[in-house]
Amino acid sequence: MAKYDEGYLDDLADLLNSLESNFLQLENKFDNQELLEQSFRDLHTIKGAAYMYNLKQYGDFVHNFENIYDDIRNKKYQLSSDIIKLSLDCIDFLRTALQDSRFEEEHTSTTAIQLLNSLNVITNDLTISGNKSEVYVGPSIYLLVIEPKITLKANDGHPLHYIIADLKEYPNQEFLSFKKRPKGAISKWKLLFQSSQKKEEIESLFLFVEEDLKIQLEEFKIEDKRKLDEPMKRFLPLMEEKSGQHLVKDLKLALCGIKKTSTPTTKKGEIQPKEKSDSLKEKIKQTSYLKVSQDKIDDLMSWVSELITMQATLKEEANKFQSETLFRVSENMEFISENLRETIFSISLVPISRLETRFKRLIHDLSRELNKKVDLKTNGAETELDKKIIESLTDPLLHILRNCIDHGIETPTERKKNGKAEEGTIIVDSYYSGNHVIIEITDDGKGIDTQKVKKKAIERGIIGKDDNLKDDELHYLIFHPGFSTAEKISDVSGRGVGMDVVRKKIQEIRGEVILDSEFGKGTKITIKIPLSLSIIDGLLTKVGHNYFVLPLNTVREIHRISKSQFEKLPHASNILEIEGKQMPVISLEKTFNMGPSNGSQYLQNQTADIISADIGITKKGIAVDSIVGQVKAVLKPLSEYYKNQEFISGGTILGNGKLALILDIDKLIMKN
Amino acid sequence: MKNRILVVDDFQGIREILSNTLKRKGYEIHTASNGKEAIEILASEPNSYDLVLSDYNMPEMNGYELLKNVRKTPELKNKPFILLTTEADPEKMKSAKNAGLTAWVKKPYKLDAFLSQIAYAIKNRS
Repeated sequence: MAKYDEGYLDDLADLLNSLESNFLQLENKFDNQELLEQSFRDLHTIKGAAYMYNLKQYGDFVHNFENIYDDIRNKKYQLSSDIIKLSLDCIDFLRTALQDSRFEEEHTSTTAIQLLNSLNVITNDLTISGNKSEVYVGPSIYLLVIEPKITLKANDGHPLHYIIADLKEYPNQEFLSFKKRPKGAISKWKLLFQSSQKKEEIESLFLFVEEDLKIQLEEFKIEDKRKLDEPMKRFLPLMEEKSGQHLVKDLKLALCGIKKTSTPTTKKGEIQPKEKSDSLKEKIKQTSYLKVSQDKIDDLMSWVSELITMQATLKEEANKFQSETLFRVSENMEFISENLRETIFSISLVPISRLETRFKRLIHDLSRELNKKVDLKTNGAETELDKKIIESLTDPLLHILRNCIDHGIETPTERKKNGKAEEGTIIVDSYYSGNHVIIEITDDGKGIDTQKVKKKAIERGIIGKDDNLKDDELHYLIFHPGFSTAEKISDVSGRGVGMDVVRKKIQEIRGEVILDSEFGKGTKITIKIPLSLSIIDGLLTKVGHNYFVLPLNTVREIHRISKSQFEKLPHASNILEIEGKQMPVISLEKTFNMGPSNGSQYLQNQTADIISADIGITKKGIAVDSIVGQVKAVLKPLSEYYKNQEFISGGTILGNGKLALILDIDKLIMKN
Repeated sequence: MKNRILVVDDFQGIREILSNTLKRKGYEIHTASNGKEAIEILASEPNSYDLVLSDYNMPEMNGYELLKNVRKTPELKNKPFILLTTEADPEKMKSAKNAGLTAWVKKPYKLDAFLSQIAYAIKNRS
C-alpha cells in the first residue's frame, strides 16, 4: 500500500470522531432531526473525502452506511439502540480500516462485509412494508448502441469516451465493443456489457452528452443473439459461462467495493499516487496549522535540553569568576533557554478532552452491557498534557472507568434500595497543580468493601491472617498484582490484570495513584502526573564517585543510619531494622558492583542514607552513601552500550558537567 | 489568460485537493465554502469566471439550489456549471439538467475524465 501523509488520515479521523460523538448523543434522542441530518452529512463528507483521496473501497463502505442514515432522516424507519450500537461498531471499523484504507487485507474486507450485512439485516426488518426495499437481483447484460450526431473520433477528448471508459472499468464486468469508423469518424458504436447498475442509472450517465449523440440502451437476453454483429458473437460463450452463481457473488463483493484479490492496479487515467501525495504536500503547506512529526519535536527538545545543561555549567563557571558581565549573560541565557523549553514543550501538549469521546463511548457500551445507568461529567477537560502522556494514560483511565461501572456503580434497583438516584454519576475532574496535572475520577457507587478485600487478600496469601491493617492500607491492596475482587470474573473487568497494571502504567510515566473510598458512598481515584516526561523531579544521591537520581514520585521517607550497621549486610538486598521496623534494603553499591576501591570517600563516610521507595504496595529501602539534594533532571536516553542495563532508565548531565544515572525504581525494587 | 474556476465545497480537504489538482493543470482557482459565499463572489464579478464547480450535498444551500440561483442572473445564464458529487440519482440528474447543468461528475472520478469534462465545458460554452 502506498504510504500517505498523516494529514490525510487525520482528516478522516477527525470526521470519524465528530460522527462518533453524534451517535452517542443520538442514543438519548432517537428522533432529533438535527442530529440525524448532521450524522448523514458527516457520513456524506467522509464518503466524499474517501473518494477524493482515491479510496474507493473505503468510500463504498461509507456509502452503504450513509444510505441507512439517509433512510432514517427521511423517516423510512426509526433509529434504535441496535442501529446505534452497530453504527458505533462501524465507526470502530472505519477507524481501524484507516490503516488499510484500500481493504487489501483479508480480514478488513471480511469485517466490512459482515458489518454491512448486519446493517442490512437490521434495517430490512425495520423497513415499513409498502416502501420499496431494494432487492438486489444480480447483474444484467446490456446492449448499448451509440449514434453520434456530431463528428466523433476516437480520442478526440469528447466526454463520451470517458463515460464509456468508466463503464468499462466497473469491476468484474465483461465488456465488448464494436465500432464502425469509416474515415476516422465513428458512425455507430455497439457495446455489450454486464452491469449491476440499473438501466436508468446507466442512461443517466449519458444525460449530459445527449445533444451530441443518440443512445439506445436495452437489456440483452442471450436468446437475442441475432442483434449482435458477427465479431461480437464470438464472445457469447464467455458471457454464458460467467453468468453463473459465481459471477453474482463476485459482483456482490464488487458492489460493496471490495476486491477479493489485493492487486491495486493503477490504470492510465487514474490519479497517480505520486500526484496525490504531491497535492497533499501542497495542502499541508497551505494550512495555517503545521503538522510536524513527533521525531522532530523530540529532536528539538533534546537540543534544548542540551542547551539547558550547558547553561547550568555556564552559571556555575560564572559564579567562580565573580564577573558581573558573565553573570548577566548567564542569567539572560537562563531566561531564554527556559522560555525556549516551555515553548517547545507546549507544542506537544494536547487537551484531555481528546479522550472524552472515548470515555463516553466506554460508558455507553458498558452501561448497556451491564444494565446500569451511568452519567459521566467531565470538568477541566481543556487541561493540557504532553501527547505521549495522554497516550500512555488512555488505557489506565479507561480501565479505571471500567472498574467504576463494573464494580463501583450499583444496578438501578440496588441503588434505589440504598436511597440513591437510579442513575450513577462518574465525575472526571482535571486540573493543574504546580508541575503536575491531577485527574480525579469520582463515582458515587458502592465504594470498596474493606472486609471483602481483606478476606480475599488473606485467601490469596497477600497478607497474613493476623495482619492488622487500617482501612487505607486495605484499599491499596487492590493494586496488588493478581488481585481482583469481582466474585466472578466478568467480561468487563477482573481478568486479574487489574489495578496493579493501572498503577504500574501510571508509575511508568512517573505519576502517582491515590485511592480514597468510603464503603457505600463511592470511590475517588486521584492520578497525579508530571507535565512533562523529559524533565524529572528527582532526588540526587551519591554512591562513591557516582551520582544517581531517584524519581521523586517514588520516594517516601529518608533515614540516616550508621555505616557499620549497613556494612553487615551480606548481600545486595537484605532486611534492616529501621526505626523499629523491618525493611528490605537494596544496596546500590552492591547492585552495581561498586567496591570500596571505587570511591575514596567511601571509607570516610560514617553514615549511609536509606531512601524508602514504593512501587505498588511493595516498599523497599535503597541505600546510598549520601543525598546531595533535589534536582530537575533533563532525561537523556543512554547510548546503545547501556541498553542491557535494566535498572537505569536514562542519564542526565549535572550542572558540574558530571553524569548522573536515573534509576528505574520499579525494576530495581521488583527484581531485588 | 488562464481560465478561472470557482470551486464550491463545504469540506476544506476537498477544496484543497481540487484546487491543487486544477492549479497544476493551469487553471486559476477561487474557492467558496458554501452556496451563499459562491453567489456573493459570482454576483460581484459575474464575467470573470469561466466555470463553476460545485459539490451537490452542502448544508443550507445544496449544489442544485446554487445552480438554480446562479441561473437567475442574466450574465450567468450560460455559465458552465459542473456538479461534482458522490450521488448518481437519475431523477436528481434530470432536474439538474433541466435547470441548466452543464455536466454531472461522479466521485470518485478518473482524473483525465474529470479534466476533459471541464475542458469540454469551457470550450463549448455558448
